[in-house]
Amino acid sequence: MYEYRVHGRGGQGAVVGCKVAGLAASLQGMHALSLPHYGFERRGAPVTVFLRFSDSPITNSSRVDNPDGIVVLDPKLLQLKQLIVPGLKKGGVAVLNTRKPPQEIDLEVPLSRVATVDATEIALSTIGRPITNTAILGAFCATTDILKLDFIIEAITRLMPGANLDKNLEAVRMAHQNTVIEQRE
Amino acid sequence: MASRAQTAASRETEQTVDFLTGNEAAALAAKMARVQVISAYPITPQTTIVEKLAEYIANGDLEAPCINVEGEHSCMAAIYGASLTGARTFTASSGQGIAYMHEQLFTVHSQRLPVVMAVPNRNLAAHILCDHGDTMAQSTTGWMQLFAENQQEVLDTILQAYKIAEDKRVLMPIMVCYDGFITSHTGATMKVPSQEEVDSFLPSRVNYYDQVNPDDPLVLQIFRYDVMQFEREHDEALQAAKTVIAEVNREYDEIFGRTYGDGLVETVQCEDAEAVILTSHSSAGIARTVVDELRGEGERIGLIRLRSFIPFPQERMRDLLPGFKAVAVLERNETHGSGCGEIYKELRSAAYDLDSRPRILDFIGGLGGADITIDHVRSVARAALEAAKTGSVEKQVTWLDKL
Repeated sequence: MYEYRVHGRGGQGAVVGCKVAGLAASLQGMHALSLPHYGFERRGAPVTVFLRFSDSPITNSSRVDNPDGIVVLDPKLLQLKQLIVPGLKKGGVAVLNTRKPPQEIDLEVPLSRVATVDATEIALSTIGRPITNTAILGAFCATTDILKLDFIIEAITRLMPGANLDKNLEAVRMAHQNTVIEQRE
Repeated sequence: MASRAQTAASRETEQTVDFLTGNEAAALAAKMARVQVISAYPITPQTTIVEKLAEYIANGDLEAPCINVEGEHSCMAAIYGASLTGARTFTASSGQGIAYMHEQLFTVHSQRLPVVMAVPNRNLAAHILCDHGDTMAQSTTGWMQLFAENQQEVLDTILQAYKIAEDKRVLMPIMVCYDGFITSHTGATMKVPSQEEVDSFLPSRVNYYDQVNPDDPLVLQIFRYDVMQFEREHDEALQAAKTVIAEVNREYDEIFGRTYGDGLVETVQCEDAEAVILTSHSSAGIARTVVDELRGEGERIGLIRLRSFIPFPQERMRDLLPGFKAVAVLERNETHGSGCGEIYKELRSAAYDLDSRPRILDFIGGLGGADITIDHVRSVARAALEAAKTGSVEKQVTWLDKL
């Protein structure tokens, strides 16, 4: 079982992005659960989604308190450590949207892997809007061994079949290639 | 047995893997049941069901009028009228929406209309998030209530619900309840049957009585003098529904390879259990994990998952209960003034006439969307084991706050 916590802001597509991740995992033969943590969401406010991936059926639908990793869709949220860090496992993983290289990231928890990508720039140059969900999926795929790129592409094709499909697929591929990963202890 | 398993396995390959929220699963089930009339009024967390159905209609994937109404009271009136004509109907609501329907729920039951309603449960007092107070408050309206644990079961149970409600021995309305947000808005890996399979399981609705007809008008629902008689018959129908729910569960298994206990109750590792957790909805999923864990530590604990709340499976409970020393009920509702939850009351009532009955404890948690954590469920299990060991109970009802 892999448990992740995804942080974004209302409007960045965290919920849809996690649905893509869940479908991709399902298509590649795994079981997944994508659990948005609902309050009174509005555009710009922090949004949290919990993700579980497993080879066997998942019965636990409670919130994820101790994630194996975090995924952050908005660079400014990196300043809110009290939001994104609590419960993160020692030796965990962080996939972050930021211009900074991973060496400059300190989340005050010993992590095994820190990955950064400028997902906002990639989203702007492909989709034309700072909707970072598809780019961060590319980074997530490059950083962890859970999802395969082909299935992410298939899931996006099924769930986002509009005029922006090709641009979203480009965002995934660009982020997948441009993610910088630092291995830590 | 082998041949049935083989059939189920080969059937499974005809089903496609998908990743759907509980509400998407509910909308898909309604479409696959070939519903003929839909009406609903938006309320969180139900709204996305009807949005999805509207999308199906707009795309030409479903041919059914979706009647826009000014509120849930009118919605249930529209569904009532449509169902009287013999149409297969679908609606969905939550929380305040169901409260606003209250009067019409009785009307639908009094005409014995097989209406199916999906209910992602919502707190009524002060929040949009989940507890079961909304449907518990409708427990005397004559509607059946089935509880689904997860997204797959939402799809499966809505298909089953039509078959149960439309059965000649039943002909009563039914709610398919599941946890608002926790199940309704959470995506999960699941299997979707083919339309051909669904059609073979669920043929068109058969009308056993004359339909309403504009050329031959009649008056309905005026003062009746046979209320005692028809209410008794309705209760008999709900008792008969227990048999039908079990039959439909078996038939569903034969076609789709999925089964939910005996349809009314599912037991997990109960055979030699001294203590059991009894719960419903998504909490049952967490309890499965905890039971596995504690079994690993050598504890004799099991799980009873309540699937049918109305009709309540008294007979099955009377069969099961003498085998245990303690039962801990975990429920997401509370009746003010009683100081306990509704499932606890029903269970104790069923247990009263037994010569040998277990200790029964109640745990109230998850009100207004509060998380029921794995630690909560562990504490429930520990309390049940303790009561089984000592034979005494210090605290009859426990409120689960954040551990």
